[in-house]
Amino acid sequence: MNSAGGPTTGDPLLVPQVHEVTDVIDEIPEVVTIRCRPERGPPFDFVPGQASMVGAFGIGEAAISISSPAGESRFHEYTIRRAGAITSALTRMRPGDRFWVRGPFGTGWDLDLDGRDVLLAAGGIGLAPLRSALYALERQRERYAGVTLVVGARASRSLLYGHEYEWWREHGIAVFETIDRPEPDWTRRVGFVPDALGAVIDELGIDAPNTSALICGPDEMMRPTAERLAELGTPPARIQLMLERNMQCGNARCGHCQLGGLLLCRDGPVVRYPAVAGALATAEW
Amino acid sequence: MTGDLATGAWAFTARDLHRLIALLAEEFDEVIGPVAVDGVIRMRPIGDAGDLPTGITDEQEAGTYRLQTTGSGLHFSYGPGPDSLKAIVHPPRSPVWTMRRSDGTIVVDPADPPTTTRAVIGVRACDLAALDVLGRTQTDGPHADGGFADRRDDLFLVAVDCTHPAPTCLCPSTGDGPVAEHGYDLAITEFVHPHRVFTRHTVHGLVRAGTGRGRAVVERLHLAPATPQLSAQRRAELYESRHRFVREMPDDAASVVMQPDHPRWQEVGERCLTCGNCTAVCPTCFCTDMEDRLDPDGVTATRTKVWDTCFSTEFSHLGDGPHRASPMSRYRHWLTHKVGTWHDQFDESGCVGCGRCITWCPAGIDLTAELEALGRPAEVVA
Repeated sequence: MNSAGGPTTGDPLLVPQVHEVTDVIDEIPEVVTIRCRPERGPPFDFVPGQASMVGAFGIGEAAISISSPAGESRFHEYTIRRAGAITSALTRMRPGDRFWVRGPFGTGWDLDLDGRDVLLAAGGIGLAPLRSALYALERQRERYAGVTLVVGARASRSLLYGHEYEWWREHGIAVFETIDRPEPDWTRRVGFVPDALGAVIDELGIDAPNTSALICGPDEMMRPTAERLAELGTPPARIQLMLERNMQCGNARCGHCQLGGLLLCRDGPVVRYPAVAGALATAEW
Repeated sequence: MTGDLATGAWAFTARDLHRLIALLAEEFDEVIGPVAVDGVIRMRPIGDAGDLPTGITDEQEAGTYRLQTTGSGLHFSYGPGPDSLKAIVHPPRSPVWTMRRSDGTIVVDPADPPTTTRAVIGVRACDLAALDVLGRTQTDGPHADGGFADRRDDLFLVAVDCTHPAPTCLCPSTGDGPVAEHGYDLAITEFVHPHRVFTRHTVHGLVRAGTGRGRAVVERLHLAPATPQLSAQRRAELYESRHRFVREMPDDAASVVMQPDHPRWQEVGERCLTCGNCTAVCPTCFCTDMEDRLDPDGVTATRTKVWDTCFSTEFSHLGDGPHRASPMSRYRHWLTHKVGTWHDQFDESGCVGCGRCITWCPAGIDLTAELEALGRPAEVVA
């Protein structure tokens, strides 16, 4: 009995596109960035915040955000943390290795925020899905009032893309690092992201009610961060969050990435806070 | 709606049923119909009408299923068995692709589209409704599942109106049965002649056509138009059938499930074995997993789409572990999705009232009872 469930020819979400690794960049412990390009044709267009299913031969796929600038026509970058079998295989790849990509899928960050203060809050590897947004904001920096990034990590050695912060500062993005616990020789902030964010808003005199926020990190970091911003007067609908759930198909068919009424691979991963506030407040929802 | 095209009805006897199946067997690669196997009525390939479960009925209750011999000549005198159309259009396992390492790169070979044509006989109204619901999950919007669409398009559906619903059935309350109203090629109502019970050849009924190709089949069988007496008997049978239903989907189901802290969830979470039987027999549960396998040669890898269940801990796995670790949260997710958030995703309920999840739950959990309890104030439930 023939019962094939094959992908439709040509749909880049259904048919894997073979990519070549052109460079591997060691970032922080357990995290690498894979720079790659398709074997055939130029890298596909995407909106900052979109992700791809990235596949390791014979093992499986993981949903990974595209972290390179959206205008970069030569390559894509995926920043990957080693967690399970799939990401372990992906992070072991070397230049010249082949893997596959299905994408891009999902909603991107809404960056039509003209005239407003833009506040980005990242927790740990949550900075990766914000990186392409940062480059997009930098490219059209004059459209926005202030652009401020608060990035938190457990320790200073876990601050992702640390070598890029100075370049961002030179290009009109205020960057504030914070780590969970004090370290010798650490002169910057100590504390969790929601607290650091509140302090930065206070110190810079940021007009919270006129601010749009982009947040990415673990649920337990995003929820208090969004709550803090809402308390300070940022309209909840102007708070964008990127949610991670178990994504498998990327085309809203397999059911794994449900969060209440949302299928996050289609209706997310970037969502507005009011759409998920209840879900985030409910354990195991 | 094919209801607008419905034509007939024609009179139909047990002998015509044999002729119909013989004709379908010529036209289609497979004819699938109900067969009593190991004490259960399954949907399986059949050769002729002799394979149908004649003179058999079922006893269904929460966590209970048994077949009984009646001696009547009826071929469809039982409620839904564990199989719906799901396994046909959305198979438990279906190939997605094969990949090969070759000359330093990867060659991708997508699976061939399905080509087997099938006629299915004995489809119930709930199954027709479920086929539409399932279809919307797999083919609406961009990136449709082409395999599902191919399998669906090739199906010839012979429905049967339910004259013997099971006590676990609740389709009138979901608006999906017990009479086949649309989505079929042919629909049969079968009953025993009132004055000559218990002889095989006195089983008769009506058939109506829902599509042009259904009508073409009827014409090839040269059936006579149904008499007014036959139509009246059908009405009487269906009227009686409607009064056999004992369970109901509560009107407020979609809202009562949106109480994540209601104590009933904890209570049912203690009874639920998280076995996933309900999702396997549910005709609309669509969740799938991708199974990637590397051949021992290390050169060839295959991907297979397989049924998954939201009752497994793996289902919600994230880097650091399952998002829904407790059985309570998994049952809550299933029922909340089925009758609640399904509306947000697909503008309808995911429940078609077939009652299979009630019958096949080894713990006898009955969603209608759970929904009724969730509709009571929290303090009187605990």
